[in-house]
Amino acid sequence: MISHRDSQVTLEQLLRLKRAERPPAEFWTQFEQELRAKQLAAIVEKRPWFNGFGRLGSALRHLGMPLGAVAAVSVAWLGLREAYFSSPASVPSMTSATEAVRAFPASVAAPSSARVFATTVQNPAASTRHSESRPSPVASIADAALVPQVAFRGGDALRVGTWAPSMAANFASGPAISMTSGDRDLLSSLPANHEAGLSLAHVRSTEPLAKMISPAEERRAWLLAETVSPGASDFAPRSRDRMIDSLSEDRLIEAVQNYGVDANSIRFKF
Amino acid sequence: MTGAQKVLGKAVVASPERKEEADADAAVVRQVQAGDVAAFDRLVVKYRARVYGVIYNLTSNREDASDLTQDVFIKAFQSIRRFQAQSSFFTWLYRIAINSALSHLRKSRMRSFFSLERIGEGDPISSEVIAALTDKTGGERDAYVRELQDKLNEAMQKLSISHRTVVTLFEIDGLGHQEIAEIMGCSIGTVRSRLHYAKQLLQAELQPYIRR
Repeated sequence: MISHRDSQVTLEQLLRLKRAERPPAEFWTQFEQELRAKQLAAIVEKRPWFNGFGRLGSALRHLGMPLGAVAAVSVAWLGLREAYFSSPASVPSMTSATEAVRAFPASVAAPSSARVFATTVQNPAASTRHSESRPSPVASIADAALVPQVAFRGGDALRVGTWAPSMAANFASGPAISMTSGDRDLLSSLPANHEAGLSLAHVRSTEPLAKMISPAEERRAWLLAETVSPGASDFAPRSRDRMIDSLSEDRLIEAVQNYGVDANSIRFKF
Repeated sequence: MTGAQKVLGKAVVASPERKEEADADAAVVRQVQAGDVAAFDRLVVKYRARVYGVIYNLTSNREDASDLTQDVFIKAFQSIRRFQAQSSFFTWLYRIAINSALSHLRKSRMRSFFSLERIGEGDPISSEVIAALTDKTGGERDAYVRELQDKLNEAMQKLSISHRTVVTLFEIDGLGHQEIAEIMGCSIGTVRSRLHYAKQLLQAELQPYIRR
């Protein structure tokens, strides 16, 4: 334990003692040498690549941009970079979906679903055969993911992107997923109108909800198919006869003649 | 050392001398930014003792203080192109020094030990204080001074890092409340309250040596 006089100094004066704790003069010579060596090492040493983020951040902070805006800009920039620079340079640019479909060369090892869809467009009746021979419609999506990236532009106002394969998959798998037996019959009964077939497939492929068929639509397609195709069942001729009966010309004229309209009156004949 | 710092234990307001000093520093900084690397040596020579003193009083270890002081100047040299002169170079350099020291203290909290400089006999204030505390001479006086120095550093190290920083900058380095607030990035009121609380703790620790 140290012995000392009755204290006559203040805390502030006592703390000033620490100011007198100084290194000797020779310390600074060595300090200077070491600093020089470190300075040279710092100049020569390559800075890590992520130091650029710090500099970018400080520059943006000087511009007064909030952190959220900086993050948004960074994410947007990365997204654009991904979209524009990662896609192949030889991506074809087409004006319509029909051209896109035609662009799939048959010789290329294209997925079976893409070929099926192309065939469907050119000959809708063929789609029935393909869809019947297909083991599972869901498998076509996996196949279609292998379809090369395709650009759709023009009327659809769509652009190239990483989503192009999924769009192609939609196009390719659309008929396979959405077509029921009624639809297939309906398509086969329609005239070979490529554009109509394409637009139907396009609408259903782009809009997931459109892939769901309402019961009324299914029933209508089934009835129409049964009406048009002869000898499907016993029920079909009767309903067809009844329809033809109800639409016969004589009965129509007779029905019209039962009603008479004058200027001020309406007549009914029973 | 500025004239303002000669006032014992008084708050130092930015003086005209400090303003001139800041202007002179700004001119040298512009030279360095323009590519005159040698001009940076003038800044090193001018501020190395003060930066070292602040870091030493925060760490109570001269080897750590030496290494950290070198690192501070390296960091300043690397970043001087981005220095926008929104504050004085002195404040900017002190901020780097304080941040480096605090970072070091947080990392090595569990393995800190004293490695103290000798108290210079040539300093009139320290001679006056020691003479007021003891009438011993020769070897006994040296032993007394050593023991007193240990007690002082122990008391300082018992303070939290932020309280120690405020005491170091205000009482030992002689900066004003405003400058400390700028360096530490807090309000003047926070600086004052920290200083008040730190002094209370130090008085309790150093009670045998100080006037009541």
